[in-house]
Amino acid sequence: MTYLLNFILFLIGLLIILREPNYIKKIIGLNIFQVSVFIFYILVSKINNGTPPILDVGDYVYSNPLPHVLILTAIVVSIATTSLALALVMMIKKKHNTVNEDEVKLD
Amino acid sequence: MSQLPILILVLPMLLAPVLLILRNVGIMHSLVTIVLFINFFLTIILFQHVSSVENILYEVGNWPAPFGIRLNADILSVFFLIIINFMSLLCIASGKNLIEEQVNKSTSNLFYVAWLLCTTGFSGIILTDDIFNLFVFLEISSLSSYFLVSQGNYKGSTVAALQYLFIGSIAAVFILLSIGIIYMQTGTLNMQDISMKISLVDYNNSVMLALGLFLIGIGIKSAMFPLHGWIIKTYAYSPSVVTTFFSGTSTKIGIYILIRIFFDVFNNITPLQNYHLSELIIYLSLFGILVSTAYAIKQQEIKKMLALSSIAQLGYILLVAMLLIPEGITASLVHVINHSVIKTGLFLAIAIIFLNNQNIKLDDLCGLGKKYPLVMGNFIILSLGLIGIPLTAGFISKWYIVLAMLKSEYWYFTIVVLITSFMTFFYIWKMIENIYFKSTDNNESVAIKNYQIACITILTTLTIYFGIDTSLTADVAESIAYDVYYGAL
Repeated sequence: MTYLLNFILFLIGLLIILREPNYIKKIIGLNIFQVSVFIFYILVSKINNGTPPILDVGDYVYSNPLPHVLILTAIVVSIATTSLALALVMMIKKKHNTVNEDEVKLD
Repeated sequence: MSQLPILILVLPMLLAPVLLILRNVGIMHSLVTIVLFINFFLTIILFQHVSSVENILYEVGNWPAPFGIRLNADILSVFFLIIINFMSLLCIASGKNLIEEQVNKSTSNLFYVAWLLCTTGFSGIILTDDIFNLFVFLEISSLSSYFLVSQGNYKGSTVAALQYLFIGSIAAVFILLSIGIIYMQTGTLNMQDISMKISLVDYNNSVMLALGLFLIGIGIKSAMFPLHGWIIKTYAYSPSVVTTFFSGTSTKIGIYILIRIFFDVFNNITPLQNYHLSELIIYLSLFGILVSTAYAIKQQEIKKMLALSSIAQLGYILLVAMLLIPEGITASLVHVINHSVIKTGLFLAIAIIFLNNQNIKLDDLCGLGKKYPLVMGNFIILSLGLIGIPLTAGFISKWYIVLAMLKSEYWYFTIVVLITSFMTFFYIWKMIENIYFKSTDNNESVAIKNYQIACITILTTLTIYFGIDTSLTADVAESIAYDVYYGAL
């Protein structure tokens, strides 16, 4: 069920990037798109009845910590992408005086 | 010797922050050139070692393989590593005044930083043996290439960069999701480990989904036919030195990932044969070759024309690789290196003649044969190579492509190769006609530096050399292809 909701989030993000003419909204869509994949990784790492992965005495079931670490890296990448995209949008606003894809003229 | 793979990665990465504190562009340029030259030299040593002695596996921080990150320098990675580092060195060595002319003075130090990071990212993708690292390096190279594209002196450069960012990020997220599913199924991120454990997993729908997502991601990166849209705008609106660099490298990285993942890592479960994936790609790229060559004939702008021709050539590379016979992989690798050399040379010739990089139309080529005899002589030889005239590298590529097709069940596709060669001849002829047989009133000329002529002559010499002696291209490619095919890499 959670995977299905996650997949819907994925599709919403993709649709916003592809369909929305406004660059700022496109960037928001990109973020939703990326976050849906991050949530997927977190879902994968969860194990039923698992505890937080802290070293303690005794044997017990704990959640997989590795996907969290991977996603930490991916979040950093996502922040870099978003800030670069916003910087580019600012430059477009200066050059073309619009942030709408349909109104931007390339030449 | 065993430290070579990490050195190749770390050298440009270490220089990048140093450049941030420098102010003098001249010193910066020479530092970057020196480091890239050392890097190229190291890749040559690595190539000699790997091809004659053994593969180098470097464990970063001395953590053993499935847990730590490992760098893997085998013959396939070194083959691509040489192309990347050679093109990077050549473009930066010949591009000093192009960068001064086209890139804004206030950001030119950042331009060099992004260039180094881009080269590091490409080398990292090639060398890494960890599938998540592949994603990270892919993002390093992509983010710096978005910046490089945005520095063009067109009004549309930033828009092109932003559109490239969106499409590139979609590709990266698809690849990330696919890596997540593969991790979920196998519980490991090390490529060799995955390759062993994936055969134990039932061939179920989630593996299929992962492979499909990965294929779409790589398809965007390597400009596979219906996903090629970004390449034309990116090539047309970036600074000309960046176009020159990307034409030989960035899409070839996509091809490398395709070969590495689908032929090497997933060799045990033969993903391309199942569900007719390879047939799908074959027909799509066949269509792409015909359509993009037809559009190239119609195109008036030279950079866009060459970009369209790139899509067609990448179509060939994908098509023959997807024939799934060792001859096909050989042909595709041979064409990767030959097309890299030829297309980089063509873009370089255009770049050094049109210093201002604004709207280069076919008519602007009129009468250039008299003005710049040396550069245009090189340009003609390179474009003959693109058609595939004997004694040039292009002929060797076409030869191997046709041989591979005749060996496979798709022998009738050889007709397409002949047709598109004729079509290529049409648009090349339109350029030659303008260059040599038309005159112009425009008497302005740019001073072409000797080192630029030297760089383009190196590429032309390579084109002719690879057309005569194939021991460096075809023989190496053949040994790689048989290793890949029989899973002995």
